[in-house]
Amino acid sequence: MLEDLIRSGQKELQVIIFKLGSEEYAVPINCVQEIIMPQKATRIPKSPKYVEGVINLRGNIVPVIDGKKKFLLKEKSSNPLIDKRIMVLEVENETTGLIVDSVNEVINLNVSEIEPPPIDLEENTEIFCGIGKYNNRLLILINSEKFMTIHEEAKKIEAFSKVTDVIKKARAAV
Amino acid sequence: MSLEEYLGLFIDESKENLQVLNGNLLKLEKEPENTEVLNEIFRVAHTFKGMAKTMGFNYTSDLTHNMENLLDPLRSGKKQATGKVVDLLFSCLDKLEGLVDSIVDKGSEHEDTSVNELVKDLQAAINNKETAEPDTSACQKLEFNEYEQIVIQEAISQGLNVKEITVCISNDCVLPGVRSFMVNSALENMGEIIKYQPSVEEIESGVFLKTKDFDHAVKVLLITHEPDEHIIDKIQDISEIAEVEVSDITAETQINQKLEENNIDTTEENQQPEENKQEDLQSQKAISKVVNQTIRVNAGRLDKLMNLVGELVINKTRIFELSKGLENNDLLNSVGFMENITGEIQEIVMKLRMVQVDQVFNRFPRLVRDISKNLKKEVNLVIKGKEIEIDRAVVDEIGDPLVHLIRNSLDHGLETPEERIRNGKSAKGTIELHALNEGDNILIKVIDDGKGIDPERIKSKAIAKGFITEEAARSLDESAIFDLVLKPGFSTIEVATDLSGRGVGMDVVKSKVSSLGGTIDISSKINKGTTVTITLPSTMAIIQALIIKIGEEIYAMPLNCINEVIDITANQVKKIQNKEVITVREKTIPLIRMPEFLETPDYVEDPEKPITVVIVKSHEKYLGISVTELVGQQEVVIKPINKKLCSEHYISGATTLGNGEVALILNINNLV
Repeated sequence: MLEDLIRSGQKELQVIIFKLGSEEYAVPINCVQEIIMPQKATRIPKSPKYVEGVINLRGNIVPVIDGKKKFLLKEKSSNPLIDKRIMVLEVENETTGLIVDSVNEVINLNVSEIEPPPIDLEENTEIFCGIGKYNNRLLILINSEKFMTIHEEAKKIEAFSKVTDVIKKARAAV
Repeated sequence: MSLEEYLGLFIDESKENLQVLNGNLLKLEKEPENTEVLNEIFRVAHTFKGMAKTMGFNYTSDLTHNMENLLDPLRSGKKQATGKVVDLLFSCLDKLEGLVDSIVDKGSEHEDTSVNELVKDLQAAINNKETAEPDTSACQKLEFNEYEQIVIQEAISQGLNVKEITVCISNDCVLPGVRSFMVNSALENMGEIIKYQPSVEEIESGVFLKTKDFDHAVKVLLITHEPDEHIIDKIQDISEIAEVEVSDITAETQINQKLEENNIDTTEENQQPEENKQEDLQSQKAISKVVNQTIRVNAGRLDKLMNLVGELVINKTRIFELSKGLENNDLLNSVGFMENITGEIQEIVMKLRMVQVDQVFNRFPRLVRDISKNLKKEVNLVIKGKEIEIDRAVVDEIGDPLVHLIRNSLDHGLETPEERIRNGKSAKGTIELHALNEGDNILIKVIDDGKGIDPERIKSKAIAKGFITEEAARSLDESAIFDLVLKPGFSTIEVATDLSGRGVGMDVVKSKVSSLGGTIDISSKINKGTTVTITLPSTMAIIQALIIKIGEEIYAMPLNCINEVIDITANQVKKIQNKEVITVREKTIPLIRMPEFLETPDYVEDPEKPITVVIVKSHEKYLGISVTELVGQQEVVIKPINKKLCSEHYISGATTLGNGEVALILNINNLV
């Protein structure tokens, strides 16, 4: 995705910044349909743990996924509960809600400021587009298409927490 | 103008035309001399050509153009539609289908050189005819009616020249009609036109005379003083004119013509019916204009409308409940009125989604024809109830399972003609495809009168494959044995043919049918035949449902599979082979405790309280489902749910309730 972006000659990428735990993540704005307040979801029996359930979004049944559970991020949110949101993403014609700890802002990220994922993740880089730098902040840029696949592979999740760790270290160094 | 916009239209119409073509070719095979059918085929080929040319699909237009050329002598009776010709037309149809498919996939035709080969075949077939029927030029001669003959005679007697002018317009001319009008006006300035053939109306509808080399030619009869060269020069001035020929009409040519006329009265007779036919065709068109008061609607929009109406129905229920609490009569009246209207809207929208099952069935005559030819079996396909309406979503999905069933019947069910005669049957087998309504359900039956399924063979096969033990096999009744056929990996035929017998068939059929909320049953008698019955819900969109509570969670169950609801005490539950069962009116029914089964959180069962059990029935089997509370009966709109979320198939969808909450719909067929 990053290569595609560079090839397209696009200078800026508009992204939405959200938080899971203490880290900041970013997704391209064009895959976010809307952001809604959390609502009670209907549990789906025998579904994976990270599937919160389904909600009624203006008559459409939309599955909701808990972002922290999905990526095994244990840490507590630095934000109050009231900041919780459901980001409704539209990916490959499927609408899916993602529960995040907070949605912070929309920014224009310079494509030249995006670096590829810092460590060798073998083939598991596809979840990430890279690390975006913005005013001394480090944003983990998510490829929403891969990110929202419901049947996750353990490796991908591992990669995800790896990246999160690396970012932490990088920030500590800064 | 962007052609993209019209691509959808082109695809829709092409598919429709392909179906018409298919149907008519099958008819033609049976009645090779039916000119009506030939005309219809010609019309389709012509429409196809026109559309494909407009869209720039050259292979398609080339192919259809040559089909037209082949069909033209057929429909005028100059050539017989032999089996060979029909086969050729069938392969054209296949090729067209392929081309249209690639247009659907990619928006353009795939490069297909085999089209050229087919075109060559077509041309060979056409030429074949022309050598046999050299007299194609006959229709090119100008014929004069009485009035025209008088005018010609008069003109000649006054010393004027009567010229017959043939103008050929070059083949790559885009607008031959315009050129022919230019020819007309150029000639008008030079004298008086007695006859212009084809007529203005014909030219407007794209009909031209044809010569050996040119597709668009006109003939003009002109009374003039001008010398031939002058006329030729004037016409040659018009661009895209390929050839001009001028000949004099003398008294002699006229006499010849008269003689001809006297000799061959039949020519005129031939002419007559053709005119009649044209009139017929026109009246047919007029009728179809009246009948086809339909418009095409984007399926996505229809789904959206369906969705919105579902919301409307739910909110109507909510308003109705609220207004009851307010005890305001005016409000109640108007809410009641609203209820009626929403009910009607719902009904209409539901009907919009229904299509005739014919849409699926009409591909089978061809399929049966091809396969039976291939297998050298004689088959009579009987289709009944094709006017039965069925949800569009079902129509899209049910085709493949039916194809499989029919293939099975042809391949395994029906015997060869020799075998049939040996068994005292008629040489020709029968396959019946039968759709019918039964209550809220639609049944589709595939019936053959073939050799039937041997239950003993199924049994031994199942034991050999390890599906069941020998002991268990003994206690199975016939229908349970036939159910074994539906298990994955089961195939009784030892050698897989390219048609069926790979053991991937029937279980796929079953899973497809149950994903549509339906069931499948097999019954069979040795040497009498096999009947496969698919039972489908007539609508997939709105169902009557029982709303139940399991723990604190609300679920919906389709009402059509609920048999009864009973209360039992805990000590009525018995255990057989470690499974819980209950006895209802001397029938032993397995029991599923739903809170446990669905892993309902925070649920504590009170052993003192009676258990409410819903008895459901599916596949002729009963099952008891324990629930916490019955909430009520209600119409619910089934909404699809991301299939990946519930990998097990006991949830068929979700629906929204009056309070906006989501309730999951249990798929009873897969629980039983």
